[in-house]
Amino acid sequence: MRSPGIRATPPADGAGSVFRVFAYLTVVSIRNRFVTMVKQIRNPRYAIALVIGGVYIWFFLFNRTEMPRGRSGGPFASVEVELLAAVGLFVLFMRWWLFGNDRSALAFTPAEIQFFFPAPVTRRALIQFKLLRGQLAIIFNAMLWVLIFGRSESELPPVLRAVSIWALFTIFMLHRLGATIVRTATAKHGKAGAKRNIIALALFGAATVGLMWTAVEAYPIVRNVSGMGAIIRTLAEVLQQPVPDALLAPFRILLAPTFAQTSSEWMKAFPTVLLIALLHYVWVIRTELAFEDAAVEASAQRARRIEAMRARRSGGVKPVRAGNRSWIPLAPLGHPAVAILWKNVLAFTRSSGRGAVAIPFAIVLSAIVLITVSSGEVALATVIGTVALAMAAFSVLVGPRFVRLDLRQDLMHLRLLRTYPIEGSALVAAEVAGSTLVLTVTQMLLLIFAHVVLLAQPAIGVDAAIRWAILFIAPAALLVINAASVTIQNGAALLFPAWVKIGTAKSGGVEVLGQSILTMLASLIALALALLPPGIMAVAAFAGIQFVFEDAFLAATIVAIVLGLVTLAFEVGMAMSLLGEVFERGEIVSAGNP
Amino acid sequence: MIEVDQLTKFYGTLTAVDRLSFTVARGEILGLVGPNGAGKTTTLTSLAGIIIPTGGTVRIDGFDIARAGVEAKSRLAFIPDEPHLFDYLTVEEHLRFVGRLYGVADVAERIPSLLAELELTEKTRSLPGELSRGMRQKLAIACGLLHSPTALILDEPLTGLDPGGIRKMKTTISARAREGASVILSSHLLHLVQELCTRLLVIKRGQLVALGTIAEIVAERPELAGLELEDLFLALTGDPSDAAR
Repeated sequence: MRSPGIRATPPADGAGSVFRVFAYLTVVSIRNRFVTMVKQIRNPRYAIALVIGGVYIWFFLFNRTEMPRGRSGGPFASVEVELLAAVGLFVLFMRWWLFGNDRSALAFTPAEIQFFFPAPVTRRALIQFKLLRGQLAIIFNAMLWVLIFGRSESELPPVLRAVSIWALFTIFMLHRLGATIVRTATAKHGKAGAKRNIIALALFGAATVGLMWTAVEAYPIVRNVSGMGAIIRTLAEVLQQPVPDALLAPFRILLAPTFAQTSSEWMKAFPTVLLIALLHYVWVIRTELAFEDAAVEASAQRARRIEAMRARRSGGVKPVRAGNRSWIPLAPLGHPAVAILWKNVLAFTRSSGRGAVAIPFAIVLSAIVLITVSSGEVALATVIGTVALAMAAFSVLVGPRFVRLDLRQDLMHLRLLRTYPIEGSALVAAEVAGSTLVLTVTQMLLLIFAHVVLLAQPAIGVDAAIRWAILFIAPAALLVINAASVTIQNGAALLFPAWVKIGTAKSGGVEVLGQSILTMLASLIALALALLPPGIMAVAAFAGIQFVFEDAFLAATIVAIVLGLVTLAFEVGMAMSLLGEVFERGEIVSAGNP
Repeated sequence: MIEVDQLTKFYGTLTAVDRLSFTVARGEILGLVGPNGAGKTTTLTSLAGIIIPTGGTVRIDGFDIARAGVEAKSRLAFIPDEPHLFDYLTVEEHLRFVGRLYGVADVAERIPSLLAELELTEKTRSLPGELSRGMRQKLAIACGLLHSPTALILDEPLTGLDPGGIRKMKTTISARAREGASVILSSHLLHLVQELCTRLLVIKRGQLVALGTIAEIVAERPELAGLELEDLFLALTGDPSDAAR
């Protein structure tokens, strides 16, 4: 039966035909996704998750009493935010022109390639399709931005704000697309092509030098300012000086309608932005031939990635060049569990690039530099040190959810893992060790950074000796606490695989959000319960020693901490043993498993 | 040696494998064939210790895979039709990783010859994402062969291989059997099964339909005499009218 949405017409050459094809594809896809969601709701698990996700979104979007506000209500009314946004745009555009290797803006899905490329459709029509498809996400995002940030006391109607954001995002998409097409086309011509990029390089290079020079000149002013708000205000003042003001002018023009406060301001600013958007459209649409090359290449890359991903039953891993021989040795003999840990640590260094290891070291290095350069600069050092401490504390709480170098990744390969000659408990321990190690090292680097930065700051009210003691005991404590948290996450993946994201495949939807909130709450409750026995043991030991011996505060504290950690470690060991049994004996039920 | 006794697997009310018993001696290649949904993969994954059978026992060189899993698995290799590789390990690192898991002391010496045997030498430093489908399959095979298993279980091992790769793989399978490995080969490529396998195990709806050499099967079912392998297969597993065509 022929679908009512599209007629079998001659070649879809014009924009109208493309629009009909696109509309059909979009409407049918959305409808089918909705039907699938409705079917899933029959399952109580999805129904509960959907309700929780819906309630969360409602609270987030419509029921917030506190909104991020500028001086006169809402971030769109803040001059500082506008200036910083202009800097952000500058960096974004520079990245697209100078370092942009993300060709996803051009990539078609394998199905689109299969159906559209051999079809009697012109390249111009394909570009139009691509642009139209992008509009869906842009319109959705524009509305979302207005919902989240746009409620202010300004006179500008939300609809006009949404139109401004739509135009801004459309220019982003078109400019990125155009830059990618030009870069891809020039790259094909080797050195000659590289020379054609020289204009972009020169323009952005000169602008960067200008901004850097401003930053260097502004440093003495900024470093004497205390408080984050004051720092931002000072930065904004610096950015309004003649040189940065001129450099950022094109980006401020783009932002002007979005940050307009009245309809008349908007009416003055918007036509220019609309004209820029139209010029971008003409620019992109006129690059038919270059587009064809670039799109085919980008799509082929994407197809290879997807094909490799499907073959591995893994999700969306960026292809990473291994380069030279791995720098972590692995002896051929010894406990096989070490091989699992080796694999996961190696994956960490490669999946996050070399920066994964370099960044923590760079943080410590920058701490030393900071101390040297700004000794006596109390305010800035205190702010940075406190931020590092907060980051460390935050990572203890949420880090185990996001560092997934364990069964949450490897359950994709469950069938393979089960063929290995290794005890289940040893395998679970090795898997947990990967995430635990990475988390602990990162947190320790942050603590060391904070310690170094705050060393000369007596104002924070904690004695230096106590800070050293905390630093000394932190590795063991963090190791055990992280192991407990990661074990809980892995336990959830093994026991409730349908509730936990396995692999790196991305999925969206309200029910997925609700599911994620539920599992996060359950994990926190499980962690609290796991910490209860060690806490009781520690308190009892502390009170007992204090009761028996007078003036034994230090000894009581040490014994309490050690006892607490040993108890928690014992719990973790028991949990790993149980999970090992589950790993060996459990049925393969995860939908993600091969 | 692979010994399977009364192997049974239920999925809820569905009986995927029903009291299957057979033995694969050292040096023997057993071809496992059956129509889609016959229970081949369930059988193979049960033998490899991936899924837990509802009933029955599987022994690899005398070690019960349910009770002495580590000992049994250290002698076993399971090569599935879909290669499962780790995204961030190179070809060589996969082999070093597997070497450590299986305690292969001379892994450094084995790797070059194995890579050469499977024509992967030039891809030593490549990640799986940089390999073609066929090369990934070869790497999975290399990982399976690295520790010289005495029991080799292959599920459609030639999927994705080019003609040269197929020939190499056939040679490799035969060589491993000659060296004393017990091999189970599941494939829909009946000519491959006929060429390589010493015996045939035909299953349908989880139950054993026929077991033995083609001559032995025909001897038991004289009405099958003179049929080509494809017709024989259809007669054993499919609609009788298919065989008559």
